[in-house]
Amino acid sequence: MIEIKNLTVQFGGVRPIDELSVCLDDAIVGLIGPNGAGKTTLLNVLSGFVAPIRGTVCVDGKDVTHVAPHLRAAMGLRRTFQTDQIADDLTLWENVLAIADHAGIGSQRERADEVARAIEHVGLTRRIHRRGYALSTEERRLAEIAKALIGKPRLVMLDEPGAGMSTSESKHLESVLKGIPAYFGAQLFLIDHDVELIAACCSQAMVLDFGKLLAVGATAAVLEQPDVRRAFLGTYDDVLRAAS
Amino acid sequence: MEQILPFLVVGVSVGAIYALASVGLVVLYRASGVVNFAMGALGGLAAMLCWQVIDLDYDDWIGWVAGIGAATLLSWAYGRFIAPSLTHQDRIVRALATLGFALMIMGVAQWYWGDEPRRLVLPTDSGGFDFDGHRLISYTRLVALFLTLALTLSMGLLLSKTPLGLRMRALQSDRNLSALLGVRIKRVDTWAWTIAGLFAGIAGLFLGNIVRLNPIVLTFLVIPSLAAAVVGRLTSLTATVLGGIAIGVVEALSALFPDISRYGSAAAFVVAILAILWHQRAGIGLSRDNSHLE
Amino acid sequence: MARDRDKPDTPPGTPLQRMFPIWIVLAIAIVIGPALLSAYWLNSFTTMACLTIVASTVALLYGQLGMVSLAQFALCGVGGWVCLRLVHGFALPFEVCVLVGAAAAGLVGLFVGLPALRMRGLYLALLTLMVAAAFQVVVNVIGFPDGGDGFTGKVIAGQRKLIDRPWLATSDAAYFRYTMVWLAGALSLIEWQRATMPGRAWALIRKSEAAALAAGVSVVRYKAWAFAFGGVLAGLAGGLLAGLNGQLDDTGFPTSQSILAFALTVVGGGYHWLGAVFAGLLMRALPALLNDHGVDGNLANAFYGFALLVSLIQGRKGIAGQLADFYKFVRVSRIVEGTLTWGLVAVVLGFVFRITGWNTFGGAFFITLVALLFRLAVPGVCWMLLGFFGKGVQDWAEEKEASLSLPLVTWMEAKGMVPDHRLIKHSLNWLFIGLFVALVAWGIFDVDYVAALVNVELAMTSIVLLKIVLYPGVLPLRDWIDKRFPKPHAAYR
Repeated sequence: MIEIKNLTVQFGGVRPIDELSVCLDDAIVGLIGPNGAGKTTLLNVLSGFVAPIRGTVCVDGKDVTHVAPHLRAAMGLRRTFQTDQIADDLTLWENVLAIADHAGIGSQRERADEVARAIEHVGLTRRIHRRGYALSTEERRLAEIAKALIGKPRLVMLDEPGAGMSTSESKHLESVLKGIPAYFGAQLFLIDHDVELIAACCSQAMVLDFGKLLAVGATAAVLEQPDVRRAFLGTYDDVLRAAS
Repeated sequence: MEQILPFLVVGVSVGAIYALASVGLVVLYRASGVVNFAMGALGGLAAMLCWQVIDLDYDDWIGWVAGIGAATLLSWAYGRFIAPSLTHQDRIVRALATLGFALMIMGVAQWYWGDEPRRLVLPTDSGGFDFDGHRLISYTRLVALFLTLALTLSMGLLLSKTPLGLRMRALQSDRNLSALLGVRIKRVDTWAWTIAGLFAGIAGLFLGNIVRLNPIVLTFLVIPSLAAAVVGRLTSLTATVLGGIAIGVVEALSALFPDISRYGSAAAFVVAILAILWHQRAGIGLSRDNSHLE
Repeated sequence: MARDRDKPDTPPGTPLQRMFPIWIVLAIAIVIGPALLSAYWLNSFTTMACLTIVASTVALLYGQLGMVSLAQFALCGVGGWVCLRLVHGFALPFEVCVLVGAAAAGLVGLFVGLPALRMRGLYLALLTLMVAAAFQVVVNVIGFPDGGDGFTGKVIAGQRKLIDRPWLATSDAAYFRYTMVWLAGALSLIEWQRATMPGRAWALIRKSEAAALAAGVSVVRYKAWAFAFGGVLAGLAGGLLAGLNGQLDDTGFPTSQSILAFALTVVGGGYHWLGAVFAGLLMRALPALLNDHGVDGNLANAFYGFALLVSLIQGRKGIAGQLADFYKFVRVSRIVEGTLTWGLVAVVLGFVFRITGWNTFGGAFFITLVALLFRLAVPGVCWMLLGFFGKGVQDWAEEKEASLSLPLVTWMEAKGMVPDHRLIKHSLNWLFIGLFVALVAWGIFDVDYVAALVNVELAMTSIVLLKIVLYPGVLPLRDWIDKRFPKPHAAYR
């Protein structure tokens, strides 16, 4: 569960997030919003790379607002980045193993098991010995997700995992994402532009528009709201106004 | 106080020249993201060429033009022909390339002119202001100080008031975006390299006169300039000038204490480390593209 | 690329498998070296081994972590200084002093590098440059210990002392072997770390510090570890250098050498241990060779600067990297073919020149090989230079050349040959390279310029003619060899 209270972030004269208060407790939660709405900034706050000037963030009851980034992994908070961060010279196995090295897992055997499990869940078992530079975009994205599943994660935050994926790849991604709470016991927090993906995977969704919370609740209901539609697509009035 | 005054004066004037080269460095870094390790080598070449021309019995001013012109030309050529092949690589690689460039210039200059003791004499050397019966500051050093301040000021004005300066600042802020907006990157970059070469050439002449006329020594006088640039966090012209002067002063004042006087040349290093520690006190954050810490 | 992805993946070797080649090369060196080399060259190669250790630390920091340290050679000096001081002052065994010197260098490196490790990589480069400069100043003032008293251990008036070699290795040959073992040990340690947890963490950090942080990797700790370890090995090399000559030269650690250590590591190849070996060769063997032929060391420096520039523009894998790529992407048949044709042409030309008296057999042989190597490695020089006059000129030249080549090629194909489709362009390039190679031969090896030029141009023309003539018969042979010895990454036309 994620509890955010009065969160405000300021960069110079810009407020990417303004007085945000929301409670997200479903297993898979989605975050949508137009470009520049503050989605990645929120993720950066949740993962500790940006410090808010006001407000608190609590995950499963623990206040994590000012915890340093590298300590959050130990607390079970994992994230991915918009651009993939797979080391080119290591194989897929080594890439994920590198994460397992630092997840506080005891023996080498157990580490190998963790890694195998995560890779198997995202469906890349046949690619474990492939070097990073030879992996396709989809495979790299899935590898990033596998990295986030190591070491008993509590909250897995994914930043646009579906970007640039074809329809069939999206379908596979859907099944991967849906299985995360079940197999790994983690809450999944998903940012994406692909509304279909969000609608298929997330039971709860929140919408940000220029740092403010526009809507939150059951995904289907949220997507139906006129405010949300206007923020994303614009309305006929906007078109008229622009044309005049 | 009277004891310190001559050292202070020397320190400030030498520091000003470090700062001069440093300002060229910072302007170039701001516009193109490249730390130019070759500033010292370019200056060294300018000084040696100037000496050579004067030695061949040409007029002084021809030597100055030749030296400064050569430095500016070489820097322009690098920026026009070599730097573009590196733009897609990260800052460190681009800086290291200038290191290669510096080695080339230094190697050729040292091969041609060698280690013979020489002096670069400027007409302003003979006059100056006296204090307490001793020469306090020669006209040369005064001119150097004045030039530094004037050129730094003009750079500041260039950056803040002219269209070229605006484009340079745009490039610094976001290179790709600027290109998309129609800023002619190659042209702005080339101007930045030309300016850097000019500053290096001028500083080189003065350093050749005040410090030593030797290609290797002059090449590595880029280090105090780099340290000054570090003080200015590679962005602020004012802080850079102050840093350069501070380094010059520390170097000069160290002569007052016999135990550490021989280590004077390590002053740049000390100042740089202190500057870095100072810069870090605010903590480290994430860069804009989320790829590294700064 | 579909074909690439269908090939089976090979898992990376275990740490021991990766260290194996190092020990093989070491064994060969230990056996062959003392047998073939004179004392002067043995000592040169011992020095080279120490410099290789320094280069390997530069490569560790740059190749693994992207950290530029321009101070490694200075840290080598620190290690040497401490080692000398301990031997003179406390009469401890050589190995102990070397190790303590190494530890001291590691600590110094850590101490000065730590402030910049948290900041952008550029600051570390700047700071280490200043360390190198500061070290030069300090060592110029206090000098290296040579048996005196006091902290600096410098003898003021009287006999300067040398330290003795370790009892295990007093002769030149023995010390050579001794140093080689240390070298292999150092390279193996680095390789072992690359193959296990630290190497993986370093790769993560190099790709993205933020991602590494987010995954729980303590970035500063791993960077600091690499830096300290690099310092320790550099200091170790310093101690070994001190042991070689019994002393270290006060003027032997200038800033330019520190910079060169970095530059040549990049040129040699910062991503593979062989690159460090090449760097050591370039740092020591090449200047000695050039000195023998009267070439000023400063020009060598200028050339190294140029080499660094070129290396960086081309993607900074260095010589070792280019060789590795070459080996990975070149079919076995090509290698066989190349060896046979080059060998044939070189031998024939060697005899020709020997008979006409213009050059020795060995000289002509060597020049031929160098020319062919240049032809292979630097094909587009002429065209690249045209590019300086602008893209328009280059394009015009391409078009003109293509229009001239076409009828020529058509005619040759009609005659049943299989020619190179850009024959004229390539020929112009060879002629151009030939001018340059002949110049080098004339300058460095005192060969008559015209003789060298004729040698070079004949070599290149012969290869081309040979290939054109033999090609039809060679094709089935190639296929057979490639089937026997396939290479997964090579391009098969």
